[in-house]
Amino acid sequence: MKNLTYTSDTHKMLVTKLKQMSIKLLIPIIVLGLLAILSTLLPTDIQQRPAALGLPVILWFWFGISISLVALNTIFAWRFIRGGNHD
Amino acid sequence: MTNQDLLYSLLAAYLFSLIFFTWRLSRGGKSSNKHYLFGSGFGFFLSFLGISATLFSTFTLLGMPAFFRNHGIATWVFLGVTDVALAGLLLFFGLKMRQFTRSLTTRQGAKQGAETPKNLTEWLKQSGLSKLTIWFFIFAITLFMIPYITIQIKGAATLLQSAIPLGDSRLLWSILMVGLILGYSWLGGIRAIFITDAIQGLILLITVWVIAVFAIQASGGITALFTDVATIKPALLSAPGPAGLLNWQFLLIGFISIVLMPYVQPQLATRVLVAKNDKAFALSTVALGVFAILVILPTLFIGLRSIALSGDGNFLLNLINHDAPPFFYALFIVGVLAAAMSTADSQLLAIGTEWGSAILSKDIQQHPSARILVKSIGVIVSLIALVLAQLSFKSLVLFAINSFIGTSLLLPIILASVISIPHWRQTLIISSVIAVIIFIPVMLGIFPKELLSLRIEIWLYAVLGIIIGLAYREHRQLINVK
Repeated sequence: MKNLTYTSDTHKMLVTKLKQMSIKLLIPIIVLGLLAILSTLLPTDIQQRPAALGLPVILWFWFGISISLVALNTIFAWRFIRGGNHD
Repeated sequence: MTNQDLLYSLLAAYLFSLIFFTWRLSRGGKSSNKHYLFGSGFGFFLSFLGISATLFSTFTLLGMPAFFRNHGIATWVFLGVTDVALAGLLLFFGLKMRQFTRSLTTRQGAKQGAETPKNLTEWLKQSGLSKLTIWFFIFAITLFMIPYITIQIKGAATLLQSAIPLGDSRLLWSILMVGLILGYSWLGGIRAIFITDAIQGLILLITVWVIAVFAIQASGGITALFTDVATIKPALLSAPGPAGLLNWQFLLIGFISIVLMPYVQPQLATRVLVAKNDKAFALSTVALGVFAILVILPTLFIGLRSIALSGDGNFLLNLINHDAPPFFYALFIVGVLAAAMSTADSQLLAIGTEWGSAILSKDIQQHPSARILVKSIGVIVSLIALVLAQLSFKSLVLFAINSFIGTSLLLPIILASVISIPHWRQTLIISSVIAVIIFIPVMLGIFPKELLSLRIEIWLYAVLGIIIGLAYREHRQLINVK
């Protein structure tokens, strides 16, 4: 039966899950964010080069970063939820 | 039906739905303070739409397209990448926050009968921070949040005044909006805010997409839209944009200040803490990331399309009048009103609740006078914002970003409540106070904006980051020894 009260067991489980999540989730998010910010230093002609649908290549790169961030979030949230035994 | 008739009909339908839901919610008789201020736990759908509608406000509809139009595609890094990163980091730190508040109750609850803190001030109180620190936090939060509430009122009232003029200025529209917000928040409490925010969030999403689709069609497709921009103003297609604003320093400051919002801004922190359970909360962070992309992407197309159009007055109204059927002009106006109200209502209730927690010695969830105190403070703050909204300032987004930077400098105080080493607690609190004292004159233009070619905010974040890192390292060492 699913545990609906918050007990020391669920607390310990949450602490463990958060520990597992910490480095694997936080570092990629920060690296991807910094990558997007630092890519603005690229020369103008490289940034503006047209790519698919006529969008500048740099915009596709930033879209890619945003989608990767959503994917990371989804994977970790999914793993967290599948772990079960929440408060 | 004329444009105006459609607008009146849609406004009436929108206001009717707000009144209906508020009436339904207030019908249940007198609920407890806890239920009124914090609800009884919100599931996935209301949590995600509530956080989204609060986060994406008037400047989503007005400011974001204007930012894309003026500063180009690098606005995506400032808004698109940052908001999605906010959602990802929120998954981890939001769960940490929820875990910490529960451990606080476990520690203190048995002997004092305390409830799990649902707002930041109660959190700081239960963590044992001094009254002086708590009062500093409350004053600073209020100081930085008032401009943010102000821009919601000003942005929506200006647009409504241009669509349906009431008198000579935007004052009457501002008063009507504030009256409405206070009305439904007072009657239905946080549950009314969550449900009206959900409706408003959906209106916001539908509105931006519909207008974007018409803008793309009128351009002749996405490729044609970008070709037009490349011909008219090519500097918009790369960073740092025509005005040079979106350089790495601005984007880094924007990134840090925006991703920290849920941990320092009361209206967002409360939403993290009141989610029904961790599962609903985790799911809502994923939905928030998707929602961020879905809301910001159309504003890119709207902003860039407006480059090709000329005309006096509001560029967005010009674009909608030019590209879309009349119904969508009305939908846009209602969308702006919805966006403004969904952000301002949560801010007013949240600031009122924080002040209530600071003033009352008992837990706000159990105090008999809590509700009237929260409402009174909400009225005072809204009146200040109402007056400020009549003043003129240029960019909604730039006004908002100063508000975000100011609140982000309060993070060390929140972290001080988690750190168990007394001297590091003091250091974190003092460093936050000094950072705020330095930032206010920088924001007002009294102090220089840069030091050694780096913006002052970067120096402040660097120093605070080092202090937080050192404090956390010693805290971890102590825990490991124990």
